[in-house]
Amino acid sequence: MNNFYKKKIYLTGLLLLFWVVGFAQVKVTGVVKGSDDGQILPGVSVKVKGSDAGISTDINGHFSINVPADGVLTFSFIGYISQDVPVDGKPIVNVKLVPSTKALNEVVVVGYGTQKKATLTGAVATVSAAQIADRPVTGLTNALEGTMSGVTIISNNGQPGRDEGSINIRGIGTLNNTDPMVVIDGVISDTYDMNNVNPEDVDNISVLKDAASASIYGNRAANGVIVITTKKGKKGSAQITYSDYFGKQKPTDLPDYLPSWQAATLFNQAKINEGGTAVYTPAQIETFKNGSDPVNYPNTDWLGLFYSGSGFVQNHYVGVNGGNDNTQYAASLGYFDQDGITPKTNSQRYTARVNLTTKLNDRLSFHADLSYTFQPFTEPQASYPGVPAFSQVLRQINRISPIIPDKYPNGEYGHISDGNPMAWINSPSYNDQNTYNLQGIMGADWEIVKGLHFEPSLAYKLDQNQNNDFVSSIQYYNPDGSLSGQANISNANDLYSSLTIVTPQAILDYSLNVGDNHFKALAGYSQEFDGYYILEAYRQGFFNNSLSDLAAAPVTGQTGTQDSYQLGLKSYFGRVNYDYKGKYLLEGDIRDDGSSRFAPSQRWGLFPGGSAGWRASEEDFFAPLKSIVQELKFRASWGELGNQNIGSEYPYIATVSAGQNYPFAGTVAGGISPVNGANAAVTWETTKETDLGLDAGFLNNKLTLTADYFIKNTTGILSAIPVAATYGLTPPVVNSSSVQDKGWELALAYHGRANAFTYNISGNVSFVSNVVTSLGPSASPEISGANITKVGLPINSFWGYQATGIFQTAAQVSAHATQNLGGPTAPGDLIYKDQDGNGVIDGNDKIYLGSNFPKTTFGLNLNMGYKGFDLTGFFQGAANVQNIITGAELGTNSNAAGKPTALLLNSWSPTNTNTNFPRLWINYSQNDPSINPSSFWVKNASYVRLKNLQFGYNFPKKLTDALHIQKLRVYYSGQNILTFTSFYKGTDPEAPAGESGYDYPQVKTNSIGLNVTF
Amino acid sequence: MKKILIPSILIVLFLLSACSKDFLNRVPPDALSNATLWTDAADATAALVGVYNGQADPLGYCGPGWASGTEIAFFDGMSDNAYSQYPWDGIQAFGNGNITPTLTGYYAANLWNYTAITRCNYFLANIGACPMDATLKAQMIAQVRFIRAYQYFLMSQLYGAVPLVTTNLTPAQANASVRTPKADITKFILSELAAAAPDLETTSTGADVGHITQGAALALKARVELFEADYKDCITDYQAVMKLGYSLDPSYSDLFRIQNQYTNPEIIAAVQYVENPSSNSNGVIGIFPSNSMGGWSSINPLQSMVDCYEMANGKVITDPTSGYDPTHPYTNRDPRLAATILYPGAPYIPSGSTTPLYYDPLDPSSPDYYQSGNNTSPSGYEVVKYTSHLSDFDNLFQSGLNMTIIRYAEVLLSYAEAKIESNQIDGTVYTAINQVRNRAGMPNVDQTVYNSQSTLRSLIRRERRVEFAFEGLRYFDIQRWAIGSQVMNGPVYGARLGTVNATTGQYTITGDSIKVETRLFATKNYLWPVPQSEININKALTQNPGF
Repeated sequence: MNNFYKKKIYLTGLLLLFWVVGFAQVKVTGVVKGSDDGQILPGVSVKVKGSDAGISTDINGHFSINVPADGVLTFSFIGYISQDVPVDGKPIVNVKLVPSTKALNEVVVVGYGTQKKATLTGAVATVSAAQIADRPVTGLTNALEGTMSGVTIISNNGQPGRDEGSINIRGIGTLNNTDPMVVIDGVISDTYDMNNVNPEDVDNISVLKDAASASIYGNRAANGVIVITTKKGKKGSAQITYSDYFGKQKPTDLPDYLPSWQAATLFNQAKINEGGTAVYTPAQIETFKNGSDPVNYPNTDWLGLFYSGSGFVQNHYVGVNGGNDNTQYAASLGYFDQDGITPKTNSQRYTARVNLTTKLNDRLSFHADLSYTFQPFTEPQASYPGVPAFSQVLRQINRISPIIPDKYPNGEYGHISDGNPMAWINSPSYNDQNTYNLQGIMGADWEIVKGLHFEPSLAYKLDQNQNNDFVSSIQYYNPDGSLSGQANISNANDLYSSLTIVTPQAILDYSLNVGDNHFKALAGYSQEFDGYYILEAYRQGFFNNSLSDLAAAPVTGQTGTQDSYQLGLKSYFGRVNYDYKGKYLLEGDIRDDGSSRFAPSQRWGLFPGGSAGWRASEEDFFAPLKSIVQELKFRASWGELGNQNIGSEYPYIATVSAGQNYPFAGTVAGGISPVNGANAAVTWETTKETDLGLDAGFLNNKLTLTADYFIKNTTGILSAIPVAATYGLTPPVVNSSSVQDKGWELALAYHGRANAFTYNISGNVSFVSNVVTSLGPSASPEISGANITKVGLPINSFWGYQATGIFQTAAQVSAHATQNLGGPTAPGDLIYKDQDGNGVIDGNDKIYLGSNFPKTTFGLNLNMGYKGFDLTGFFQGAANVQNIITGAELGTNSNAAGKPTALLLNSWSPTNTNTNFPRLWINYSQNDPSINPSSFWVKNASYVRLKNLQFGYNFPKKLTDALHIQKLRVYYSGQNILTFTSFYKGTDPEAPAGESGYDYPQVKTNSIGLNVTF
Repeated sequence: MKKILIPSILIVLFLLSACSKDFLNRVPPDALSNATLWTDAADATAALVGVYNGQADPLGYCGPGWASGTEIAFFDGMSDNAYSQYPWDGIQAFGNGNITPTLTGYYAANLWNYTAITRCNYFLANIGACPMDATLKAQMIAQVRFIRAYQYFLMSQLYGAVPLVTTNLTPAQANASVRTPKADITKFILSELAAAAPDLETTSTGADVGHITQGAALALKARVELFEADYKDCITDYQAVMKLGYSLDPSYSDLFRIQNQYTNPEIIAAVQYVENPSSNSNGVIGIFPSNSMGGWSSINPLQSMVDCYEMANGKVITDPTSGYDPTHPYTNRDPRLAATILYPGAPYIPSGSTTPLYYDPLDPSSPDYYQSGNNTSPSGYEVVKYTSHLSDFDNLFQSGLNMTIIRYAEVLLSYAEAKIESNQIDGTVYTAINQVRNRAGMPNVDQTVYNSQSTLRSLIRRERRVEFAFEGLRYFDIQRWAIGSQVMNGPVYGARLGTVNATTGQYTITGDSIKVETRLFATKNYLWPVPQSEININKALTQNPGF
């Protein structure tokens, strides 16, 4: 044995010795309890720090684990702050976990940074990833419905790719676009971009509701701000998660159209009501009923033919997360695929995201977040002159009578003059849309001196849309095989558009603590460039229906257009925060915004804001109460915000428009003319908002409460208010109208536990009232169909006659005010109240009939867990909301282009006088809700929905360890499972205002899913 | 150094991007400014075209123009000639007297429209300083003045007093504009047309076809004078038009065929359309044919119209010696009946076919069944005036057919009427009427029967109704003759129920007349109500009496 080997043996021995000393395992046991109530905590994860070894506490809160004598145990449990406990050779380690709701260090994402929740002075609602996890929602917007107070989300369309819903924060603040601003990882985005984000990538969402919180985002923040933060990398070895779900959709409700014999019966009645004669004899009606002659007396179930799509949904997601001390990463890939409940409707979403943070040195770090979303979409098109849209297919399905056969015995399509919607669906027509969204932000954080950070960033967003639609030519034939009408001309329209938004931004951030005085200051500059471009081309008269590329059609009749616009925004902003002992809190904001939409002299707007808070619970005098009330904070804020987001890009520039063409001798000559009114005085629209709030925690913070009262006034609303026709141009945008929203919001949460059984109850409710306070100098109301925007009423209220009953006799008709509203008034007609008492029922007798914007919205989340099982029921709803249905949604009387629903069955007739439903009509419009809306038709559209029901099972540790995975969960999840409402049967209560059968129904989804973490 | 370098580069890059001075100065990339316009005749020509484009179609069926083909097509639905079956077209309520000021979004609200007038005023305010040939400039100005006058003619005819706007207004001025008495509007129209006429070309040929000519200005002036019972000036103006070289198209049934429209010697003024691109096409003729012929049956002729046609021998059907056979009501009638109206048993050739079919609105299994509610005529009659040859059109809803606003037959019949009303019954009266009748294949006026002012008045009124059926004039005639309570009141009917032999077209009556609707006429219906939406904005506007 030479020295070399001796040395080696010696070294090995030394190492072994070290190993024995350093890694001597001890068995540690203990009990884990909650610090709040002292109750035992089962299911707490107990892990040896730095290794994969770990177990969970048993039903009695006990654990037993082998640990190196100098090791550290990490205890973590949902709803509690993770705790690291050094073993230090002790055999027994008892731990009390602190509930995370009590955590003073919990931070909330706010504008350009984060803030401790405890010292927050604004009204900010937050949603965590857990609250939206594992729901078969098609987009982030839908996922948020009902989760936060003050945020009204309406989702009323279930079509794949068209089901994004609408969001309003604290009412309707303007007559313009009311979409809130969306910031995704610092990239200024639009509401629709929310659905470019994979819900599973989301770490948390903050909604900045009050003006003082939002004002830091100034020029786009008047409708509130939604700040979305995606999951960032965490230190540690790579963790891979995979999840999927598979589901099936069904409509929540469909109109109940009557079979052909009843359609014929009601058509007869309507004919008679209008002074005509019955069209169908009793024998013919009997033939419809008994189905003995399906060729001449069919009963076509159009909805059955139409709602025959699979409705299959699937979702897959893979995420990787990890990093070391200097660099952390999170990356994910997602795929979502949704088939509609009608044939040939489909939408898919591919998402990719990389979030990266790296520290160059102690003073300088860089971060880059990059995401890409590709969403292909397809739907059928109508071969209908002028309106080739899918909505026309929906409308005609809801319109075409069961008396019309889908196909004749000769194999040709039955049709009404508008065509046959099933022929359209089965034709090669399509509308394909590919949307591409790329967004990225790269930034740095440079700590120049201690506490002073310089944070420059550059955000870039590119939305591209490629749209390709093709309408095929369809020739209809009569049952005898002869030609019926002319075939429509096949055509294709291709469109490409892109929107680029570039946002450079720089922030100086300084914080300083002097004793109990904490200062924070922020100053920043940002600018935004929006560039939009669209190119569109059209050709018609394809040789046949098998080709649809533009190049395959003749050039005769082709058209091409292109349009573009560019916008600029510049902003300087600042914020100071001061708190004393975390007890007295102050914040001030200011922002100076410039917009290219306004003339140089009107361009800049200065918008200040401020807020203050007082944590009474931190005062000495509060101590006696502290055993009951652990946290009590009062907040107040006031702020001003500007809005310039209007449809017109250059509202102050008077222009002469091209394209005002006219033909001479068969040749079109190019013409120009002023078309749009301009207003050089146009400037920022201003929203002022005051918020009073309180946050409280009771029962060891198991019960928490947040309440807010707000009042929001928007003045100088930029709108093109109607101008008298003698002006001759489209009305210019003026700073004219004012709107007020006020209301209050309440959020309550309770976290409870009884041994192994845990439960959480959280609920929120918002009350908001909206009123138009001014409509410019003329104050002329804007009336459109059943809707009015009028001073003193909510925006876009329902407006119509007050129906007081039904005329039973001719004497009653003649005794009443003259009611000449599109047909001779007769018994069976609705009686409208003569509000002005002038003896004539006319436009002056219309009154406010309600509003489609819910005054009350609420959400209730019930969540319970027992061992590995968890059950969540999430209810959501709206109250104090009205809606009306018209046209095909209500049902009409016809034997071709119209059909009645069951709603029309109990109508008045000389033999059925004991009813409140008016007599049927065809052309007479006195009872028609679309032409003469009245209180009879406007109904309460309040509802409560079981929005999500989830039942999951987490496989026990033993099993997952054996499979070498960390976590395995399987679940059932259902969306829109149950709906309770007194609204019209057959129509979803969230359906668009005045729904008339043009819209895709809302859907419910049942799904099963899987989550695995490796 | 390195530590400072990277952040410094960031700051510099940032400042560079932020400091561009023009960042907030953005101008529309696709629109001109008035300041850079009016440099030469080409600019003026483009602005003139913009004026011709001025009136948007009230229902959106046609491309824009200086007048609208839709008016021509739909106006008879407000008269005793036809029934407009779709309430949403907004015409039905004028027919049955149910019109109210609040029927917004409908036709009623859409003709109180100053878009074209504003364009005219804009053109006239700016053309003065444009350097260009003086004659051409004068000619352009005259065309624009004609178009403005036509717009005022239309609006004052419908609404009575309307605000007379001759300069471009600010929104505040517009919101305070007051109605000018109709007499002043008329005076304005007449003086404008008188001033414009001498500067206009006498005829437009070749590539100029479609431009407003001297004939159009004089004929419109004379029409207004006739409507205002200023017969003396009316006669003078029509005599001037007669010297301009217009003549009747030899064939009444080919008068509206697309083949002839650029060379037809009868057309004095027409709104121009082209088949493609679609934004300048004529889609309104698609409203006439029945479903099975590819149309919508929006305007449905009434029995009263059918009964107005004389027998081929020139006698009215109520004349016991006329030979009228109520069981074969369409036999031996004025050829203009078949050229205008498709009646039960009438032959027609579907598009894409050469075999004639017989129109059958009466059999429940027919695709044209009057009760089917499927874009078929509820009166059992269809208009064929513009679509006599369906195969002329590739697409009825995107056709290139021009819509005639003034034609020479109107000059002749209006001249005759003015002479009759001023009781100057001479040979020229008979010649004028006979020219129109002979062209249609009708015999001369029987001078033994029509020998007095009153008999001639009834003749000329019938002749006008027949000759111009579905050309939009009947409503104005009812207005000025004040015959609303006679012809626009009570039930209106369609064809009589019966059967049509599919192979011979033989029509056999088996039942009563179809009752289409019941109308109620009140004096207020001689004018349209001012749209309530306008009164809401402009408190200075008054409503027409009775509404």
